[in-house]
Amino acid sequence: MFNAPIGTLLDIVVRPDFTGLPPSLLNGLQRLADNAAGILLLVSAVGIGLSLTLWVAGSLVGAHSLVSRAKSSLLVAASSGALLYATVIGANYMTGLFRS
Amino acid sequence: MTSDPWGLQAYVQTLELALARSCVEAAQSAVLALLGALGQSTEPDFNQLAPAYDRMLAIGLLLVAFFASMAIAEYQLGGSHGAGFSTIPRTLVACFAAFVGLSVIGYLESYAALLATAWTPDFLGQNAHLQDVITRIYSEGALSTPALGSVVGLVVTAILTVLLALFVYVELVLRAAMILVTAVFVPMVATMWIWPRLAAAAGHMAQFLVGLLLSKFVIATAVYVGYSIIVRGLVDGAGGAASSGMVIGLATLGIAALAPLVLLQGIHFGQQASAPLARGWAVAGAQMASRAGQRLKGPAGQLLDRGRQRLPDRLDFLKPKSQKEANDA
Repeated sequence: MFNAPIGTLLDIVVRPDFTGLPPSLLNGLQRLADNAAGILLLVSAVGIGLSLTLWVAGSLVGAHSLVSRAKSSLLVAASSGALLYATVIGANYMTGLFRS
Repeated sequence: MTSDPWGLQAYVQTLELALARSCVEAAQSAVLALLGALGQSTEPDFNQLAPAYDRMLAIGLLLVAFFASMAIAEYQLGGSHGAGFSTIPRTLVACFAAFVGLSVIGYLESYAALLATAWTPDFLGQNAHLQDVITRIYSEGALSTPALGSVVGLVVTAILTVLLALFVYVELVLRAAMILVTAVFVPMVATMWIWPRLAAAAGHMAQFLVGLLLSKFVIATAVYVGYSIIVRGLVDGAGGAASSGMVIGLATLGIAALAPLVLLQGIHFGQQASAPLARGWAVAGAQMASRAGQRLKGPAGQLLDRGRQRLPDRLDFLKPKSQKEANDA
């Protein structure tokens, strides 16, 4: 979508060259991204566990502010995986727009 | 009895003049070559760069998930430079910038090159005028009042002009090379922007690139000013005013050679960028740890207080002092 007008106007067209990368580098970068996603999911899992614990405990002792805070924390922690997924979809979408 | 029976003095004078003439012509040619170098010959060729850029773009796209994960994780941990739902628009913008980066730099560079040709007609006019004057001076067979009071002064001025012109030319080539090298890293820096902690690198690179692009215009202007003063010194020709004019002109050409300090800043780029980054990471780690502690401390303290209030009377010793006093009263 974008490559054609940019190429016409500025005579420079770029395309990501994944095949030119050495396989070890490609695998390494993918592993790096996977590890980062793993850390994110770990943090999210801890966040979900803590939020649920606080929600239950807050309900038992009747601390409403604590319950609402636990709910919002749970929402952020639970949606982080989806957020990362949406981010990757966004990047792929943008890459697709530049594919002529 | 003549003081110079062999005609040695006349011979030396002829030699001096020939030397002065060739030096001035060399200086003129050097400045003309420099003028030519201000055109397309010292501009970076971005089409040659495209394969390297494509590969760096692939690396940048592979790192998108890493930077997004780090941004979201920092947000959850309460870091000051995390990104929550804003990661999605940041990713879209970063990917767009990574794809169009080379085209945008090429576009800006074409206008920077155009700006650098602002003095070309004046250069050519001055050069033609200088050529006429030099021819006229040498046709008379002698230099009556050369620069700095002697032919040697004129020769030294011309040699310095040639050296400075060479220096400026090397600088222009260096600028083109640095633009190319910096442009290759645009996709990676653009994807780094997804994580707000690393967003400063993108701003720094943009400033650096704009400085590099505009440095040619700065060099061209300084060369024009310096050359104009030198030409006036040669053409007007006489006395201390002309000599000082030539020295000022040389100094201005020196400024042309040294003005784009942005090139030197580029050498310190890594050091300048990495030191605050390392400090920032250390401080951010401490901040995140303390905020995570505070986040846990708040709900935990609240929970403990509520629990203590609900404790039965037989566990009164566990209740907070204030509540105990209130109960006693």
